[in-house]
Amino acid sequence: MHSTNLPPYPTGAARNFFRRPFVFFCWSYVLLLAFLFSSQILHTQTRPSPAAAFVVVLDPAHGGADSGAHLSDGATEKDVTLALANRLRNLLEERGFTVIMTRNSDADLSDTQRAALANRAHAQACLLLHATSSGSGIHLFNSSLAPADATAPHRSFTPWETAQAGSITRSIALAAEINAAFSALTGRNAIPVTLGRTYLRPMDSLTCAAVAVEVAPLNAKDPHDRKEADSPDSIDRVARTLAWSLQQWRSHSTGAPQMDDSLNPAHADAGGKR
Amino acid sequence: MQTMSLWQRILLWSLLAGSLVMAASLLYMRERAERRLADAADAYPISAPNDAPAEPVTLEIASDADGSITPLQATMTLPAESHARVRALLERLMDEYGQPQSPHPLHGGAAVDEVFLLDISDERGHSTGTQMAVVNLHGGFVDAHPSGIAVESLTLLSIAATLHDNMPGIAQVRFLVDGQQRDTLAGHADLTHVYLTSGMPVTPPASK
Ligand SMILES: [Zn+2]
Repeated sequence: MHSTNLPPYPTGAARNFFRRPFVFFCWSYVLLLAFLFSSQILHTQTRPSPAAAFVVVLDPAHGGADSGAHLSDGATEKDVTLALANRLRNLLEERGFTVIMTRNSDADLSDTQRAALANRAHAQACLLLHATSSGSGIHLFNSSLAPADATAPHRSFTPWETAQAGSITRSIALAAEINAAFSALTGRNAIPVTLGRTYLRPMDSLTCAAVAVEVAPLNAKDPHDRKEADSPDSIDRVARTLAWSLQQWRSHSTGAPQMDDSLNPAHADAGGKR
Repeated sequence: MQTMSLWQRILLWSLLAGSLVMAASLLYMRERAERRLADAADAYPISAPNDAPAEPVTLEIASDADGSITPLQATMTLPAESHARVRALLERLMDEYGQPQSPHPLHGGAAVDEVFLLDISDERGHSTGTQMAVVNLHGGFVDAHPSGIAVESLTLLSIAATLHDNMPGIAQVRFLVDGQQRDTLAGHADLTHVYLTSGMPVTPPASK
């Protein structure tokens, strides 16, 4: 008797559930949200989306007690590199880059601290910024380290002093990208570029694609038009051309087309200032 | 105490006199050796004997303007002894950089204090037939060296390439400053590395 009076539990409950459209809708919505959320997590864990952060490390060389070179006009290299890094950071952040600076103030960081900061960032490009009164134009340097042998065993341990050996091929490609951007400047805007290789700290300890960019007087051969590396015109032109080369580097690295053409050196007015 | 016999006294005095003569002659010989060493150190590296024939040498001259290194043919008299040859050659190279119109001006005075040549051996201790030149630079020269990645690297590359051209047996160069290891030449180029004289990675400037 009791059993017949009781409602047949499963079928009845299911029937009640499906009979209530609002409850059914709510449950479906929750399930849909859960599915979307989990797939999003999986997606970000497996491969970064094209819009994921493109990280650039800027290392304004010297700082604190280490003034670096003394320029002909009395400026110190440490101040010039910081001014250039700040200008470049603004240009890059406006264009969606994530920029990490090894120093934002007149701080005296060791080479090990700089390399540790840069290596933690897992950056796609690292620029070490220097300035000098010797020579002319832009000096681009890669590490003199020979490329690491990818087939060698025990590759899991990378010696700190020579960590750059594993990235040297990409570093040379990055230097070529920067060289191409400066070489596209013509006429009065032309800036000579010198490429070289050297042993330089902390570049040899960096795991990212790394290039040391040394800014010399832009027009050293003409004593009337010689512009030291700290002149506002020099900092602006160098920062804009470096930003353009990093836009190109990002475009070539991610395969995403280059939409913003505002810094393209080919559009620079050949008759005057950009 | 017993009184000594005549013969014993003669023996004692002659032994004393002998030891005094020996001490005096030792002192004299030591002074003479010191003078000779000092004279040798003064004369050692700088000047070759005037009657030695002038030899053709190649100096690899750096240029700050375009970051290049260009060979320059010259003739000079070189000492016979290999350490002295290296030092004389490098002094000649640095003289070029001290000229008023030098493409890579360096005005820190005498650059090279001393050069040592060491045989390079392989892992099993066998000689490879090549040498490492340890170039000890004067602190005054290094302190006055212009600061910059390019300008410092060019000095080191120019030295290494000049050694390679004229003494092909020298495969490696190591730099000391006043006998000590220093981190950098003037804040940039790393002096803790051994530099290879061949295959120095210098790229000419980008063509416009
Ligand atoms: Zn610097």
